[in-house]
Amino acid sequence: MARLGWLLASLLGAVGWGAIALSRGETINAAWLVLAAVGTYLAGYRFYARFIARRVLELDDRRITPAHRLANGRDFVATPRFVLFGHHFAAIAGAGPLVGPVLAAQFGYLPGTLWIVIGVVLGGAVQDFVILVGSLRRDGKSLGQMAREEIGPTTGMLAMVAILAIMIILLAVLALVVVRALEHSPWGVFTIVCTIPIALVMGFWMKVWRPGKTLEASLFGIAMLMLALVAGRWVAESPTWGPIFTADGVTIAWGIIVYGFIASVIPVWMLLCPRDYLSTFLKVGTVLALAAGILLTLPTIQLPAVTPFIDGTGPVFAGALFPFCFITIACGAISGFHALVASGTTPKMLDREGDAPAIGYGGMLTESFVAIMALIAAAALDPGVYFAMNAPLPLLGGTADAAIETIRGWGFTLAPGQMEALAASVGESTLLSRTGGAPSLAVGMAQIFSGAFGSTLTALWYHFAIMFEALFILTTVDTGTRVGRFMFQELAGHVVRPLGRTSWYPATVVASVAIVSGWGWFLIQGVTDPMGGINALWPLFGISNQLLAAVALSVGTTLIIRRGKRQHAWVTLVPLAWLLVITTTAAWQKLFHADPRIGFLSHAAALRDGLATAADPATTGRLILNANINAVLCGVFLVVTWAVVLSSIRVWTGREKREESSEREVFA
Amino acid sequence: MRATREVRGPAPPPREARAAGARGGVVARLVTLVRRVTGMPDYAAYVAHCRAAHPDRPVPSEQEFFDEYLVRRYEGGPTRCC
Repeated sequence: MARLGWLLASLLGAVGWGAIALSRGETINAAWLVLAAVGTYLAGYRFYARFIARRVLELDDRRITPAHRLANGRDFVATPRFVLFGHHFAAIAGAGPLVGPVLAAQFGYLPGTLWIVIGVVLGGAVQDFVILVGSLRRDGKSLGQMAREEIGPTTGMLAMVAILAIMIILLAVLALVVVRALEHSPWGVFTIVCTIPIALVMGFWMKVWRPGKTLEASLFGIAMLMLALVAGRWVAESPTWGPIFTADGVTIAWGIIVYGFIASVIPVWMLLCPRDYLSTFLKVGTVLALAAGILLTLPTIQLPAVTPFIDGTGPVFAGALFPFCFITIACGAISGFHALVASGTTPKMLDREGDAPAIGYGGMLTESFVAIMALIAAAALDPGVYFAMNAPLPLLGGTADAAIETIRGWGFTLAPGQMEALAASVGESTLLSRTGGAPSLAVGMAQIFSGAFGSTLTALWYHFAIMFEALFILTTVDTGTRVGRFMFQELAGHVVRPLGRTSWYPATVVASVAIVSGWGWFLIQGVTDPMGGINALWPLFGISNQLLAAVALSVGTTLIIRRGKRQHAWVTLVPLAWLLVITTTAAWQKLFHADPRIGFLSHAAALRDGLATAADPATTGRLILNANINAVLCGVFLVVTWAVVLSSIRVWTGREKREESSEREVFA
Repeated sequence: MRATREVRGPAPPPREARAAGARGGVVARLVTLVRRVTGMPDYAAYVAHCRAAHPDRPVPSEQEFFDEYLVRRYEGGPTRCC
């Protein structure tokens, strides 16, 4: 009977795909996308995850999990499966699955949907699941520790360098998304500025006034946050306060940089921890609301299935469907960063081995569904509006009137005054070229929410969506800077010993400056880029995240082979091979492609050729430097990943003799 | 999904007896749910653990427990994703 239910679910997925396949050329309802995705997830979970659980990892509830064996009432705590699912999902879901699909919508809704759904079932969910179980059987060790112990010390070190480099580019790109969303938006800036005093009050509440009372402090914080959101409209419309909170991109970027540094050197309870709680509450709440909104309204997809931009001429970012669709959508299909979380807190809380598929594989399927919802929100926008919001201003022609002509040239329509009316309805001064994905998603979400819960509040919904994205991106910036600082200190401690002492304040400050100036440099580069920055930096982030996934899958393959399951190693080898193909192609094109819009080096060369006639030689010189640094970083990512993969292959082929399992087998 | 039902041998202890946080009334369980999902510290669970595992030692105060939690949570690897 249960088996029949699973078959029925799979069949519904097939019906969804069938409807998508047959409706080419006309608009389609989002319901079919939801059906196709959910049906495929259920089939993947029931059949593929179970195959991996039984045949490859051989999960056994009689093995005692670290949560019981090492129980300490703190981080090692056995947790019911559904609760832990929520914990794991809250930890892996972030801005990545929301932004990537919005950008990749320039290829149409179909390529993104296919990659998100197929990629997660065969790649992303497998990675998370295998790494979770690997860590579970090694007392909750981290990905870096497993790489060091299973493959070798050099590989472990390389993996750490890769993680640090990815962290820097990730923080820069995410901060850039926030800058693009808050530019010239007093409502948004006011709400986000308010989170700082709110977090401080929460911090004193739970640390000084009522020690440990995190829940009541958080409830107070959420209430204050909603108040700030509502007050934002009044501030934006006030002739005195409005201009005070109106800032350009460079000012906001410097604000984030200074804030990131301060948050990294003061005690965590003041800012970081309270904002972490606030953003988790908002994140879970908003994802649930978005799912409810989409299911209630079932919007019509306005975007074509496939646009002409699959040839690489798209305005949102340069590069053809292969490989750039697979780079742009990282989180949601497969995200290397998850391997860090799956080998973090979750394995220490797992009650039984049998819970691992629901949490490792199932948690990632849920994140994939978030990516599908983001894609639906973007694809439900009028395509003319989508391109007007996401194309760089110079490509649009600089003004609203020119944009109408340009978008007509691309084969879409935009009515005169349409953008202005839309901007007014969400309480913004302009929506033209608001790149970075967050504003498009916010407009899409505002339309869905107003359709589902009443249309009088469109502007409030838009700013709620902006606040939610900005808040949890900034939380990622806080926590990421701190994590980066510890990694930097660990690496630097090998060279200059005192720098490794995390309790020594000068070392903390030096390491914080190093990390903040790392991402700050890329952030300023992006903000001052005449093309908006997202189109140069987002692919770099995508490549780095996918390369980290390749590192994680190499570790996963090693774990599978070392437990004597060589015949099943294809489970991780297939996604690994695909990732190596797409990331190597993408990195190669970003380095050496002849089109200066795609290749960093040809971009630098083109700028150099024009330097003699450039109106502003200083700016051109800076752009050349940027292109060259991006090229170097891209090259470093590529070399580090291949080094990890090649040294893993040495272990797999027995060049380094050891196939005994390193798992701890403790049975009840 | 029960991935392991083919395994022979002694059955593991029932779920409720194992997982902390699966006890108490509706409100208590809801609070535990929120705490675990958001990664907040759970002092009540810690006290229960200390009483059961180390009955001879004094139980640290909520203040001490919270201070230690902050260090553990934010001085390790990433706890949050992109």
